Amino acid sequence: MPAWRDGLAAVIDAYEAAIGTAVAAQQDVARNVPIPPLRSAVALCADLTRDVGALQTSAARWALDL
Amino acid sequence: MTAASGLASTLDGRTQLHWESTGEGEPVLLIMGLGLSGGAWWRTVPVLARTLRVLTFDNRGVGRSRAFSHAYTTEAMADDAATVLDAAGVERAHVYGISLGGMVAQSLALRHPQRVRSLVLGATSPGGPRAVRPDPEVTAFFRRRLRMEPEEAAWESVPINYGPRCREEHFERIEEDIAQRLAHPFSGNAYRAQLFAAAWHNSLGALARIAVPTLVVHGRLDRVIPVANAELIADRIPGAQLRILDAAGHLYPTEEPEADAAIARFLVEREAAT
Repeated sequence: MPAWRDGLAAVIDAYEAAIGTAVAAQQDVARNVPIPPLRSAVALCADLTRDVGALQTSAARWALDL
Repeated sequence: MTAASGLASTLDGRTQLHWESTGEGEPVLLIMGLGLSGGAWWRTVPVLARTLRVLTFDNRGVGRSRAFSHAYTTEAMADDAATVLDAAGVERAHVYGISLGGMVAQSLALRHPQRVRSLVLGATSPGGPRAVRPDPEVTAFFRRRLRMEPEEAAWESVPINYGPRCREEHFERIEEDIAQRLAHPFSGNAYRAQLFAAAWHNSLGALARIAVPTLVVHGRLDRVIPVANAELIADRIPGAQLRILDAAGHLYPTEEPEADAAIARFLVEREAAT
């Protein structure tokens, strides 16, 4: 794989890892929220972050054939 | 034979996942494919449960599980699988996914590597631009499937899901499968949402990060997910073993029952090696 493709792959991997970290942080917050509707709302934010991030990384890898 | 069952709730409190546990020993989590409930593992569970604790579950929106969202990703479904492991009190398990379940298993191994002891990827695809697509007749069937009655769809899918040898020599197995399938309610919404997840799944570029022992199993005559996809996966995952079943189509556990026995041996050998 040419170096520029390696670089792009590393950028996408790093973005994916950042999404994972953000999702884990939001889930940790949700676990510690004592009010169920609020906990559900925070968990929903985490789910959205995960799913939108997954679609973005999938599309980027698709477009770049990585 | 079922030792335990329960409902696992995800953090949002609205997605609930029905799971069952059978047998004793090291745990193996089974992840089913498109539109089917955990009950569709009925041939595999007794074989694996001779030596392992087998966990099955209904994917979100299917069978006795409930879903909050209307569009799924394989990442969300992988998190569901981790939630089931939590509910069953399992820290780390062997993971065996078939078809869409194999895509979810890939995501589980990438998102939660510490939860996966070994991986079996059956009749599945890495997704992405290099994945080999099914022929147009198969694609057209999956589009039509939503407008069909469950029984009509089950019978029309036979030449797509099963290889010619099984259709000619073991048609009674296909009839058993269809009877099992029709016994569980089918959700059009979940089917659509799972198709979305399968369409967006793209793990090829990340598979090299999977570090657990992996077995890739695929029928050479698979029309739903052509066998070239198994070769792609096995090529990318370091040290992965590839087992091609020459006479089988997509639903190889029905077509070649000895495949499950070989998978059980693979899992037990991994257990002995660790």
